[in-house]
Amino acid sequence: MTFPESSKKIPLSRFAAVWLAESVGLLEQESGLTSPRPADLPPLSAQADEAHKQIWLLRRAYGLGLHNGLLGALEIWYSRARVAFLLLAVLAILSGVTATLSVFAGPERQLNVFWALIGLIGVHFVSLLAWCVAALLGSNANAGFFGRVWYLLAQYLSRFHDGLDKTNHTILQRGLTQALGDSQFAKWRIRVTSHSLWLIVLSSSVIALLLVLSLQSYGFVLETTILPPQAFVSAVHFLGAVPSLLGFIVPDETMIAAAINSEGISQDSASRRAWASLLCGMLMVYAVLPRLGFYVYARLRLVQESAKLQLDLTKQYYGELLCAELAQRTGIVKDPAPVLRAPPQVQKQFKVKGAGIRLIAFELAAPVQWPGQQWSQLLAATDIVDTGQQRQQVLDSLSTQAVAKLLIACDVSLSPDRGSLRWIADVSHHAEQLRIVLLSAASSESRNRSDIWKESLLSIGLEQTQVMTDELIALQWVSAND
Amino acid sequence: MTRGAAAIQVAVVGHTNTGKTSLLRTLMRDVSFGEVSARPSTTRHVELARMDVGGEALVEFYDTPGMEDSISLLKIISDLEDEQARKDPSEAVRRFLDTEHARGLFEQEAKVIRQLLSSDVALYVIDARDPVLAKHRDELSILARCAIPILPLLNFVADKDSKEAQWREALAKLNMHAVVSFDTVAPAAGAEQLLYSKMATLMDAHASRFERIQQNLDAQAKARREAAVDLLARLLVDVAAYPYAVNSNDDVPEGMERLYNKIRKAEQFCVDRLLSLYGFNRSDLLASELPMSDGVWEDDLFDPATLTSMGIKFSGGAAAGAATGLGVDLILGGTTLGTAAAIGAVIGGGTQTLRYFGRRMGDKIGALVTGVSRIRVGDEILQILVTRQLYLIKLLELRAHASQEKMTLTIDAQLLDVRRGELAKLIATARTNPEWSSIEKEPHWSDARQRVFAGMRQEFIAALAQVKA
Repeated sequence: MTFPESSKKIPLSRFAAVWLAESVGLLEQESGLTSPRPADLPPLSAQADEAHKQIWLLRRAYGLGLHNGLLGALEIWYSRARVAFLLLAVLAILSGVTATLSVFAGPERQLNVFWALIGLIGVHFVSLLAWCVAALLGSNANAGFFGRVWYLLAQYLSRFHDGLDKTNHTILQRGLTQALGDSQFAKWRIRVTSHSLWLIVLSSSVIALLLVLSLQSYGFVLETTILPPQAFVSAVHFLGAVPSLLGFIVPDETMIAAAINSEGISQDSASRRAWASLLCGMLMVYAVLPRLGFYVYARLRLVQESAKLQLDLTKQYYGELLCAELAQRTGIVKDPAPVLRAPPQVQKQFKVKGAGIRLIAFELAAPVQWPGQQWSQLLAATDIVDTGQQRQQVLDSLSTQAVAKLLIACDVSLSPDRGSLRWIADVSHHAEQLRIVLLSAASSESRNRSDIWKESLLSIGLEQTQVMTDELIALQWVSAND
Repeated sequence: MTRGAAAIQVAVVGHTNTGKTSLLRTLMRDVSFGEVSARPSTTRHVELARMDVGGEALVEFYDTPGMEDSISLLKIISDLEDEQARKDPSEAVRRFLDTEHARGLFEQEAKVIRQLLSSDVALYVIDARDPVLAKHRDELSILARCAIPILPLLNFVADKDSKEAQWREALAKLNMHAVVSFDTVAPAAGAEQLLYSKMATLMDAHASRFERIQQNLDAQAKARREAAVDLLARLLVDVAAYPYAVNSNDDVPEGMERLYNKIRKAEQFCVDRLLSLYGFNRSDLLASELPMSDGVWEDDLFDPATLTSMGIKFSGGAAAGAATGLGVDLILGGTTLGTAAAIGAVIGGGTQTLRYFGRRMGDKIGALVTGVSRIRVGDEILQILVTRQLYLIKLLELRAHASQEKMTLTIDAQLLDVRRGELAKLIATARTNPEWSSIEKEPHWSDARQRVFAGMRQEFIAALAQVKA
C-alpha cells in the first residue's frame, strides 16, 4: 500500500521538522483555530498507521509554517546557531594556537618536554575527565560547557533580526521545549557541539605546534631535582608506547639520558626530531584522538536520538486534528426541491345527492378489525382499501352510485401522504357527506400524528367538523337517521 | 485497490417520513445534515452526503424526497410497459421520466427515480412501526424496475411498536432476503458495521471500499475516545494542580468565589470541546437525560446539593465542608484553621495531609512574609468533575446524531473514585505540581505531567468500559 503523504520529503532535519510541528501546534492552540489543510498536502488515509500519521502531521506543519512565519523564524534560529558556532570556532582556533604559542614563548630556545605537554593538553584532559565522570554518573548537567555556551549564544543572537516576529520567537522557544520532551536529543546535540569545538581547539594546537617546530629549532630537556634518571626512561616509554605504534619516533635511552638536566642548545638534530615527534604523537594520542572518538560516538548517538524523535500523538491537539481530518463532508444539494403544488381539493358537502352509507377502512393494519363486529352487523359492510386495485374498485362503485354518508377511517400512526390525500379528494366527489375518523393504533404518544393529519385534511378543503377523532361519535354519525 | 475510482452511489429512498435524513445524520455523524422533522415531506430535494476516507470519496449517499403516491405511479409506469419494456423493466421507468407526469404531479417521485437510475445501490428505508401496506409493496416494485440492488433498512426497530418480523416476512415474499435493521435513533452496537457489510455483499466489486469505511469507523471511534479522555485528564490536572492565591485572610471568601468561577469555566470549556469532538452542538443535548440544559450542567459544581444529588458521600472533613461552603482545600497560609473551618474550607484527609505537610509549612512561612494564602478545590469537586464528564463522554459515544429523543444514563457516583487506587495517586502527584495547571498560565511541560495524563487516560477508558447504557 502506498501513502501519498510519505512520497514528498520535508527539506528539514527530523528535529527541525518536529520542532516546527510543535511550534505550529502551539500557535494553532493559542489562536484556537485549526488551519485548513495546506494545498499541496494530500489528505490523510484512513489506513495510515502511527508512522504515516507522524509524517503527515510533520508535512502539514511544514506547509503551514511556510505561511505563518514560523518556518522563517526557525530558519533564522538555525542561521544564528551557525553564526554562534562560527564565532566559537574562531575562538577555539585562537585559543588552540595561543595555547601552543604560550608553550613556546620566552627567549630561550629550549623546551621542558613534560611542562610543554601539560601546557598543551592539560586543560583539555581535565575537562575530558570531568565529562567522562559526569557521563558515567548519568548526569545531564555537564553535557558540555562549550555546547551550552553555543546554545545560549545562539538563543541570544536569534533575538536580533529585523524580520522576526516576537510572538513567533516566543512560540518557537516553547515549541523547542515541547519538541525535546523527555528525549535525549538535546543532551547529545550539546555534546556533539562541545566535542567538535574541543576538536577544533586541539587541531589548531597541533597545526600551530607543527608550524612552530617546522620553522624554528628547539632543544628539548628533561629537568628534575629529585627523580632518578630511570623514572624518565620509564615515563617516556610508557607515554610513547601508543604514539610509537602510530609511527611517531620515541627517543631512545641515550637520548633521554642526554636530555636530563642538560642544555638544550647542545642537543643533536636527531634527538631534537625524536623529541618533537614524541610531543606531537602525545598530543595526537592523548588529546586529538580521544576527542575525535567521543565526537564520533556523540554523533552516532545523536543520529539514534534523532530517529526516535516524534510527535506525541496522544496529545489532545493531535487527537482532535486527526479526528477532524478523518471526518466526513456533507450537504450538497444535487437536485433542488420542486415547486410546491396546490393539493387536490375535496368536493364541498351536499354538492351531490347520494343514498345509503359506506364505511372505508383506509390503510389500516391487517387484519383489519374495524369498526368491530357489532357495528359491522349494524351498518353496511366495511370496504378495506389498501391496494391500488381496491382503491380503484371503491372509486368505480362510488362513481356509479354515490352515497349519502361516507366515513373513512385512517390510522394516525402513519404519515398522511399525497397519494392518500388525493384518493380521499377523489372519493369525496361521490359522497353527499364525508367524515374522516382518525384512529390510533400505536401505543406511543410520539407516533400520534393526528395533528399532522388534521392539518393535511384541512389543506385539501375538509372542514374542522368533518375530521373526527372519537370513533364512537363518528359511528353514531353514520348510523343516525336524519 | 480501486483508489481514485468514482464513489459508490447510494440512493437513500423510502416512503415519506421514514427517517431517511435521520439515517444520513447518524451515518455521517452530522447533526446539521438536511432537515429533520416529525412531519412528512420534509425533504423535497436530493441532497448529497459524501463519505470521505482519507480525502477519497468512497461513498456518496443521496438523500431523496419520500415516495408519496407509489400506487398511482406504479399504474402509470405499468401502462407504459410494452413488449420491449418487459425485456428491460427499467425501460418503462425511463419512459415515465419523459412524460408530463414526471414534470407535473409526480415531479418529486421523478427526482427519486432519476437518482435511482444513476445509483449503484438503493437503501430502502422502512419505518418498522408501520404496517406492511400495498403502497410499500408498490414502492418496492418501482425500485425493482430500476435494476439496481436494493437493501431494505428497517428503522425504529428499537421501538415497542416495531413490526420487524412482519416486515422481514413480507420482504422475503418479495424475494428480498438481505435486510438490515438499523435504528437511526438508538443504533445497536455494531449495527453500522453490519450495514456496510450487507451493502458489500450486494456489491461484490466494491467490497474493499466498504471494508475501508468499516476500518475508518473503528479508527475514528478510537481517536475520538482517546481525545475525549485526554480532555478530561487535562481538566482534572488543571483543577487539581491549580493553586489560587488570595492576598490576605480577609480575601478568602471572595477569592473562593473567583476560584469557583475559574473552575466552572474550565469545566464548561471541557464540555464544549467534548461536544464539538463528537459533532454535537450545545442545543443538541437539551433533551438528554443527563442533568444538562443547553450544554451546561444544571447542578452547580460548588452547590453542596450537587454532591448529594449525585450520591457522592465523602467522610470526615470533606463532609463538614459540604455542609457549609463547599470543597475548598485551604493550603494553610497566614490563616488559622479556625478561619478555614468557618468559611467552610476543607482540609483534605488521609495521605494527602501527610503529603502536603512540608509544603504547608513552607507556605505558612511564605504567607507570613508575603501575606499570600493559597486555596484550592477538594476531592469532592474533582469527583463531580470526573463523574459528570465520564457520563457525558459515554452519552456522546452512544448518542446517534439523528436522535431527538431522550437517552437514559443513570449516574453512578461509584464509577471511578478519585480517592482510591491509581487515580488518587495521579491526582496527588498533580496537586504537588501547581505549575502543571493551565488555568492561569502556560503549563510547565514535563515528562511527569505526561505520565500523569497517560495514567489518567487509562483510568478513564477503563471506567468508560464499565458504564452500561
